[in-house]
Amino acid sequence: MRLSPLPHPPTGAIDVWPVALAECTHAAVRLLAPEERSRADRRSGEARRRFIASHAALRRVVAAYGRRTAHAGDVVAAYGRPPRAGCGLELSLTHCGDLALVGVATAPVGVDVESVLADADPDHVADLAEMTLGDEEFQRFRMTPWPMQQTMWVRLFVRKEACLKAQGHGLADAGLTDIDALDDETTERSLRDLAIGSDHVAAVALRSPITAIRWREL
Amino acid sequence: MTVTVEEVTEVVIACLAEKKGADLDAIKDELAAAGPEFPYDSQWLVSAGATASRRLDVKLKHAKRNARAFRSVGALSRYIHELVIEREAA
Repeated sequence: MRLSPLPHPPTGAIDVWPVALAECTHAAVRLLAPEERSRADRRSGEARRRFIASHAALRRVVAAYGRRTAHAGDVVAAYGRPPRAGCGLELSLTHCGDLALVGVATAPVGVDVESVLADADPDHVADLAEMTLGDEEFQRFRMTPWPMQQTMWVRLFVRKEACLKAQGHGLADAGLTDIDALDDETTERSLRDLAIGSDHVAAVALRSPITAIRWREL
Repeated sequence: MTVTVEEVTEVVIACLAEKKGADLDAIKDELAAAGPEFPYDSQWLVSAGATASRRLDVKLKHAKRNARAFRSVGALSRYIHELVIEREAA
């Protein structure tokens, strides 16, 4: 149990909280805001469990910085929009299977995680690449041999998603092909790959230069 | 004779079920419960869209001008249908 609240990340720093969602208690649903409970109720089985667990984890992370996690809605993660903590902290939540990541910073932040494509169909990956990559990115993809194309596409995809989230957008708001995922630094954002094991690919984006990435534990 | 929007919708839904490894009827029930436009998780629609594009021989682009197409099965189906019409007119 954490005895004293964590300080907010300094300018440019991102705290990354990996969370295992395998355990979810009935008590966790009480931490969710009504809107989130409604969204949870539209899911069933594993999808519902992971939704509840990941959003409850978001509140536990916020609590680590000294903010209360009352279920009345200190933190509301509206669909497609970054969750707001209301205390100078910017948040981003992502999950893939039973792994969730929460990114915390003092500037708009985006984090995304996907699983490494297992037994992917080369044609399907090529279709995804042509649909979601910009011209230069697609050229580099085509020059990359299979099976390395799989990891390359997933890595570019999570980088794009992280950028979208840092901008406050969802996949239905802005175009993936319009987002430059090759460069770590642009005038609008800073982007880094995250080392998260061999089964997943992850990235984090910040709308200011990234100075540090700090791994935290609940 | 070109495909109809309804036929494209059936292809998209089938691709969605395939990508999710889910029963087709279960996906249809889920979509019907979500609303008339069949809103769905955009990431799954990206994957389903890629598969549907190959089956219908069109090229989708997730660009800003059509990002909203990935908000629902309905919108995605209409976007793909427009591309089919364009291809056949060319």
